[in-house]
Amino acid sequence: MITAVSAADIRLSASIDKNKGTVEDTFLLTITVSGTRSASRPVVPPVDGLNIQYTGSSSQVKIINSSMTSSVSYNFVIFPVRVGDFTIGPAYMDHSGKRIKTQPVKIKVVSPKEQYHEDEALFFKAQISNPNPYYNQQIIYTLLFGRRVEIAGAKLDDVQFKDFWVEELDKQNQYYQVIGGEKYKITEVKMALFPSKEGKLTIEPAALRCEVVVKSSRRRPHLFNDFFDDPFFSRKRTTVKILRSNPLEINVKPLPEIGKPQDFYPLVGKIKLNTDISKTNLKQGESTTITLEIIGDANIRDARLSLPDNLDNFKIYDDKPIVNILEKENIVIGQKTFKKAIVPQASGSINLPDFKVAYFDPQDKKYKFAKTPAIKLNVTKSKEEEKLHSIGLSAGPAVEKENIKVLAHDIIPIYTELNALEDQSVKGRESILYVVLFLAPGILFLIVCSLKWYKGKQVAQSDLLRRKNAYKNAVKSFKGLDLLLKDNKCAEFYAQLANITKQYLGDKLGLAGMSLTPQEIQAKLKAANLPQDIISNIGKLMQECEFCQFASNKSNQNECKTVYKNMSNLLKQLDNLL
Amino acid sequence: MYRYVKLIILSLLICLAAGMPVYAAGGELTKDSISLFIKANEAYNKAEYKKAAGLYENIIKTVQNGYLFFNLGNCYLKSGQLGKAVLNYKKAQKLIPEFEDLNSNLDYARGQTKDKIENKDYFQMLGGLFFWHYFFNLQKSLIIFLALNFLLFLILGILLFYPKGVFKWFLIIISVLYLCIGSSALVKIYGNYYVKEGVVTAPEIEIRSGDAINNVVLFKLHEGTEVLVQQARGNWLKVKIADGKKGWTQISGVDTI
Repeated sequence: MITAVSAADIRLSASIDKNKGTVEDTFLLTITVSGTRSASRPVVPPVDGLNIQYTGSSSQVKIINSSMTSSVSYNFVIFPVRVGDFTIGPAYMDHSGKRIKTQPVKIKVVSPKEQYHEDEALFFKAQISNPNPYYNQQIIYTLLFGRRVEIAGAKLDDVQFKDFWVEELDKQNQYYQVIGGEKYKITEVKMALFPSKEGKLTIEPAALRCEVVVKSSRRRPHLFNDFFDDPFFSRKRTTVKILRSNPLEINVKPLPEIGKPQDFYPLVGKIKLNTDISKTNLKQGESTTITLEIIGDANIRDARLSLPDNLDNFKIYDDKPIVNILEKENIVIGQKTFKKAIVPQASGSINLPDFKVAYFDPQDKKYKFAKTPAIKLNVTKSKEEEKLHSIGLSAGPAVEKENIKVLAHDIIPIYTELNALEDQSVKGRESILYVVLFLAPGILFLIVCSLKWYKGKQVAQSDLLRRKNAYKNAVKSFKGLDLLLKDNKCAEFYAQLANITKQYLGDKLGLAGMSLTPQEIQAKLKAANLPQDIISNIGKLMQECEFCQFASNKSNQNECKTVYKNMSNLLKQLDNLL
Repeated sequence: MYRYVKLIILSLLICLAAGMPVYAAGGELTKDSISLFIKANEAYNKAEYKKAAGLYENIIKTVQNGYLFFNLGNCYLKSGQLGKAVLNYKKAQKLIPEFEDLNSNLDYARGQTKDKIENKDYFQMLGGLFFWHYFFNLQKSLIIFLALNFLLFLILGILLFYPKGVFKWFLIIISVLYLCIGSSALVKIYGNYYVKEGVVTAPEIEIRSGDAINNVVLFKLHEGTEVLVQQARGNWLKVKIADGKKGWTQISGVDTI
């Protein structure tokens, strides 16, 4: 199926296997056309001093997530004719009426003697891309291992870099190079170094351990030597060699103080700040995620992103930043991604303040800022409570914790509030008052206790007197009954007799006796543990008195006398018992 | 019956009302003392520590306040008089024991002293168990104690007429608090009036076996070391240090709290 591809969808890129070589070397230039397989061959403009020849093409198709991408690589071999610095390209191709170009490619061609002084079978060298970098500026340290003899194995010992932050480049480069008329196989190992100290620094030699294959040929020259030189027939042994690279001197320049931003973290290189926001239309209290990506050739592992000043209208929650180290065109590109959940606190059209990161550009020798573009949020009002929606943020604070360093000790300064002038001492006058206040509640309590006791005693005394005189008073009252009998006032007689009895019992039992009924009297006497016959007799007599008071026509003087006599005897008995 | 209850409550309330002026009669700030205080603070902030110390000393002649002693301690510490700094911090501690900054500065000053003495004061080591003792000064302890005294007798009075009910529990709680605060106040009164503490204010003093110059020097103490003054005789003081060592020294090298 043929689909029309616009020029905007097609990309053209150029890459070269190495940037430096001798006139005895060849360079391999690859021009990749991605986005189509039907484009015409790109044109590489001729360069004076270089002979560029097309060697063929290869095509690739990739299907990722159901989307298909295709690319064609066109290979060119470059034969240097003379030494010098050359710029190849930009290569170009025409598609749909538009010209698409690659970036130019630079190479350096040196004479074989300038490149290597070795004329041995093995060499191991160290090179540095920039001997005068700025503090924390990326430099590329390259180890070159060349050999024109067969080796069985090689191992690079760990290289110690004092005063440098190191990022290793994964890829190892292998190519052939002719040096002094001999063809060497070269293995390149590259590392990105960031000086962490100013001044003259030395990179100590690296060590490489390799096993060199030595052919043991004890045969004399013979017609069939070529035949017996075949590995099948030759006997081989290995010898171990330890190669050491040359030490390198580096002069690290300090970063200029002029124009240095406040709280500057030394990012040195070319830096870009990419921004992406998940949504710009949201409700008040909802969150949106802003992704900020610091990318560049600086040492960005510890890069910090300063928060904008005016964040009154926002709440910001940080996620842990992610660091990616990439390799591009033989240098390290760092990528540090910060994710922040932003919750607007106000409604309306709100401008998100700029996030920025300061860096030093070593080419322009100036401090610069990479900033986010202006972002406007449209926030509508919401009655719901603010919720932080889960957006894949991990819990917990994102800031890396450090131990607190105590820099100095000092005392806490003076107290300046005016209550420092209030007298806090306990004076003699107050001491007396304290004693009085301490004793007063106790004394009052004792007084109240005494009063209560006295009153109780008084009551007890009056009860005792009442009980003691009960019978005496009753006998006195009986004398009044004789008069009532003489006058034949039976009803009054019975009423008076009942009252005298009640008064007596009330006095004896400590009660208000006049209001008692015969039943109540019996109950009280029972509670006093008196014999049952006396209780029932009292009950009977009291009931008789009550009855006769209101039915006097049924009683006569004799009956009254009998009741009187019985009651008198009974009270006498009771007096002995109570 | 009710008559008596009313009588108790009324009487106790009168007691409480009478006690209020004790607490309220704290400070009548005079213009002079305020002016001196502000000048002293300014002098301290300008690092004129000796001048500030003099001004604070003047205020202290009329007003005894823990914060003033604290400021004075700071002035002496900043001007290099370690002994006087510790002395004033200790004085402040008696009045504002709850002030955290004071304890921090006192610890700092103690850290500057030369003498390393093993502390054998077990009561102080168990300080955490008697935290309330170190939280209130004597005045506050007494006021709390009086309030608890009032409540205790009020509840006892109520129980006299209503022996049943929840008041029994109140009585238990109040009694426990009464004992804690009361014992703390007693210890403080004892400490204030019967225990004399001192601080070495001379750069170095000699502790002798007796109260005369011809006695043997047992050991030496340096500026800032705290001592317990056990006895005074003429120009001599019998002192004891935290590890139990004791001896006589001349009065000029030790300031008492």
